[in-house]
Amino acid sequence: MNKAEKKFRLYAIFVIFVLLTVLLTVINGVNFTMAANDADDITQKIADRQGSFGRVETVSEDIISEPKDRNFRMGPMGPDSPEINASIRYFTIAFSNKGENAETVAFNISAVLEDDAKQWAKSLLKEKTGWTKWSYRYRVYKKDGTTYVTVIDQGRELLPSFRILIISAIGEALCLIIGWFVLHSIARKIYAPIEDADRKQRNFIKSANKEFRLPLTIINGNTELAERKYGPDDQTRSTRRQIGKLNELVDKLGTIGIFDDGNMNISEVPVSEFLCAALDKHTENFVSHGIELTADIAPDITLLADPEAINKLIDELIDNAIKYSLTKAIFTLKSENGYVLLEAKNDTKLPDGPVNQIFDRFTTLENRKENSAGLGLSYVKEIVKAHNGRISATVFGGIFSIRITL
Amino acid sequence: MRILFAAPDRDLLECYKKLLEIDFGETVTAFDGTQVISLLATEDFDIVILDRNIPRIDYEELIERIQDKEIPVIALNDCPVSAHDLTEPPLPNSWLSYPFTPEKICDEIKDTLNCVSSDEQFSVGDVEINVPGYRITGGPSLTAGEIKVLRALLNGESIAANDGVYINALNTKFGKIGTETRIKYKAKKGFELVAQNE
Repeated sequence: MNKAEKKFRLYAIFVIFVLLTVLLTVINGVNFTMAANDADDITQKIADRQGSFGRVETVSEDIISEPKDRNFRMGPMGPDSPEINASIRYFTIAFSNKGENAETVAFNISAVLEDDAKQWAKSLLKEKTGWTKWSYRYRVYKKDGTTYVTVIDQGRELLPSFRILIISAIGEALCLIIGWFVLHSIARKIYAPIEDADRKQRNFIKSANKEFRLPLTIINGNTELAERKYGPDDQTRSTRRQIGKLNELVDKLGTIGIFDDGNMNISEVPVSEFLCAALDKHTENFVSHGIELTADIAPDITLLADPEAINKLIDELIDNAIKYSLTKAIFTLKSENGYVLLEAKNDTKLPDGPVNQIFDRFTTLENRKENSAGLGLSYVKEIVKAHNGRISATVFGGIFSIRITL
Repeated sequence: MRILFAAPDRDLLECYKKLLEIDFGETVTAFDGTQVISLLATEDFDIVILDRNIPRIDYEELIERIQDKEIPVIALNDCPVSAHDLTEPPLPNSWLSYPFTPEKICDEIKDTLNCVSSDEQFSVGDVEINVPGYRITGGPSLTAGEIKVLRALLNGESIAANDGVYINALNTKFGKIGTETRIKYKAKKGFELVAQNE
């Protein structure tokens, strides 16, 4: 599984997790809120009736919203159902004299003794309404100078809500597990052709690279022979220049996949020192191309990396800046939150936007001033990837910047 | 001085035969493994240049047969030398990757012959290097590239940027013989010989 595929799967499963969690939270939240509202309606009705439904055997006409509709009484049991009167488990305690005298107004509950109910109600006196002991809803209200505390048992009514909650949690977990496997198969289907194309491209490059090497050696040898026999002339010199260019191309092609086998020599690399030395070496080159060079390099920044690879990375960035800067190039190196940040900027005529395609092999942007195979920055990306770093390129306000985090 | 140049490409053989004869002397060419074997059986050579992709007989077998006769071998490779090329025996005395220049192959031949004919021995940490034998004394074989890196380290010279593969191979070989000596990169100092736990 490559990094992109892994990332896709993690992002996708995260999105599924978030969506499912939001959906199930909303469903369960609404469910519990409705249960609380129903309980509040009931405690309000009890409050309206001075703390008691009266005798449980009687059906009170006044708690039915439409008493003439007899069929209504047979409907599902909500707060307006006449069956509430017969089924609700509750007690109401009235307090007078600032809570000192407690008197039982109604007591239709089995789970608690009357004396305990009084203590319980007393502990709720400073509240208004809410849940107590998980599944009991209470309401505290005043009438004629007396404070009433009504507590109703909603355990049976809440049970389906808790079941839905548990089923939701199990369902979500199952969805995530199934989703993970489905995503695996989707990701395979999406990324297999990409990986295949990449592998084919790498193999083609490696083969082409091999195929270039021998003819170049022979051309070189024959040029040497011709020069030794007839002396150097314009033709042999031109041939040598072209050989030089092809050698450079072959060298760069040879670096494709160089780190595939983990063939790195990791040590503490003084990045500041490397960058300063490399920029010093190229100062004249910048000047001869009419480029103003600015370097903002924090001292003594080191990194556990392959020194050879870091040297090549810096060389490629400098080479790129020399080739494509219009008038100025800026190199910044700093350490931030334990990471090394290396930024190479230059002015450009390119339009604003991300230009990460420059890290693809054989890709150059339209502003190229010199012949380029489009391999240098793809090699930079390979180095950054081999060191588990990140690289991006953008153009903003006429400034092209490559940002590397290692 | 007699050179045996074995490679499957006849244009390469023709061109470099002429060049090597100008600089060194008689150069005999062979384009497959059986020719190499029969030439080795009947003629004497001072050095063999052997393309890794020589047909008919395995390149490893050829290296062994040539080294049995105590003839140094320069192997030609169609890609940059890898850590595997430097650590898996049989090892040639030197690797040369295409594309190379006539100057480069001539230098490689001279260096190899100089090494073989010398009686030089030097020590790197607690490791003794037998230069004419191209090996760590009592240990694994070395190639010219590795000896060059060790010499540069001893002389305080800088190591070329593309010598990392030799450093990796040397560290692997040091590990195999159980020495604590390693080559590590030190900030502001470059590559140095250090004890492993340093």
